[in-house]
Amino acid sequence: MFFLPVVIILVCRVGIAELSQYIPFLTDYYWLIVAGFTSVTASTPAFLIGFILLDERDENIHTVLRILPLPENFILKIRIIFMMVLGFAFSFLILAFNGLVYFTFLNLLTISILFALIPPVLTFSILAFAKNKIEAATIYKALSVVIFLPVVAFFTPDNCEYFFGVIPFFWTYKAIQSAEIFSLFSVSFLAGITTHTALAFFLYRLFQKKWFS
Amino acid sequence: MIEVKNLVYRYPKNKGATVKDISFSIDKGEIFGFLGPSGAGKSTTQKILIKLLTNYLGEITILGHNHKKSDSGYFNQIGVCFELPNHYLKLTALENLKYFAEFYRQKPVDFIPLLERVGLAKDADTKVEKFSKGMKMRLNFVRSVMHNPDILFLDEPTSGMDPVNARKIKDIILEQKQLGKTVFITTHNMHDADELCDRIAFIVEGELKIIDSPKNIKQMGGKRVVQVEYENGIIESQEFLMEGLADNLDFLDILRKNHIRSIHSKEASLEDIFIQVTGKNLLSHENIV
Repeated sequence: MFFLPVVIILVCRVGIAELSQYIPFLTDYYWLIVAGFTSVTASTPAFLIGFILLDERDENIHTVLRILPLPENFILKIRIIFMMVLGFAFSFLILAFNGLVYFTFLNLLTISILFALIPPVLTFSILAFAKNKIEAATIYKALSVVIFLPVVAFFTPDNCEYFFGVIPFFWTYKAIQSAEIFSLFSVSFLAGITTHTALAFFLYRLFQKKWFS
Repeated sequence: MIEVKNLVYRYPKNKGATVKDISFSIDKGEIFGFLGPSGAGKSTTQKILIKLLTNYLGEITILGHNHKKSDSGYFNQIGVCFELPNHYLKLTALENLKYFAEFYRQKPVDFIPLLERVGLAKDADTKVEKFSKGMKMRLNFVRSVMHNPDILFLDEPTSGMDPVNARKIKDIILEQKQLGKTVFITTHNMHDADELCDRIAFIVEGELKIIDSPKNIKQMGGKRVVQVEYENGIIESQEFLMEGLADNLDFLDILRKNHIRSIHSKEASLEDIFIQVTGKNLLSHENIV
């Protein structure tokens, strides 16, 4: 998992750059390719933490963790922060060194923040809906497709793309696309923060209800 | 030490309450047993006392504090042994204990003597996935006492153990009492309850039917007689009232003239009284007809 950003950077710098010599119009979609790769990489910590939590539930350890002398949900919060930090770091590395698309430092930071919000959404989706690790793997695969779904938006007629705005990940893609237009970028960033947070909170409540009530 | 008044709890998905208006108190240094069949509300009550369930009605005071307002520091003062094993299977017994001990204010300096007490010292460096259920339960027990808590909550503490290891656990429980610890045991094992508990509460369908010492409870339903089994060519037995036994000439005559095989008082077992009081068997929900 920790080598994935390096692999993606190499794929972008060598593979995609080489491929675009044979498929010239690919250069128009560099931003979309980078967004897609970054989404997948940023989501990997979600899979790791989701499976750790499911494993702990299977072994009844989640009950022991609740009677430790720690503030409420302390370990869960640490894990959420951990996967967000990883998501942020992975995204930042890919966005900074992909060699296909270039961002200002401020854009790098803000877009990486949006990518860092993907892991909690995915983890809580897995925890809220999966009954076991096999179901979790299936849900993770399905969510991997959902992460890519906003790509479709950018091949639809004008303004139809905003129908995809209900998917939080769409706004991350939109932020990358509009990185050079401050007003549109700001709207995309704020919409991304809002939709990711709202969905993550909703899924967190579902997870709490399913596991602990 | 523990004061529970008019406790009511209903699971969100259930129509009726699982715990119905129960009240009891437990003194410092007392071993208190909750005895009842599966689904009676024993574990639910324990889950409330260890703060795994919170939306209850009634008043609970533990260690002088309102239970609803107590913070996470409360968990430094309690030790919980769950009914089912719960360890990181890929870690060794020692690694599991060290990991969980890190969270407590008071940590053991050396874990091996603790493991030695429950016969797990030689398995300290074995991954828990290779343990039997009984070994995992003993490790559960060690984890519950390792931080020297004031109150122990033990849910079926000898479950899955052979008699030798169950004996070790029961001895440690009695030692904890000698050290002034308060112990709350939930079980449907009447022998453990009889042997360990200072007082027992019978709980059935969420209601407390009786709270008293095992001795007093057993005297409620037993016959005040002794049964003498003796050999007089053939094996015979006879019952005598305890009242005036020393002056009972027939009894004395049997003692003098025969080879005595056994003499037993005919007190009832806890299970007998449980059935009498509740109309239910300890091991099932079914009514006894």
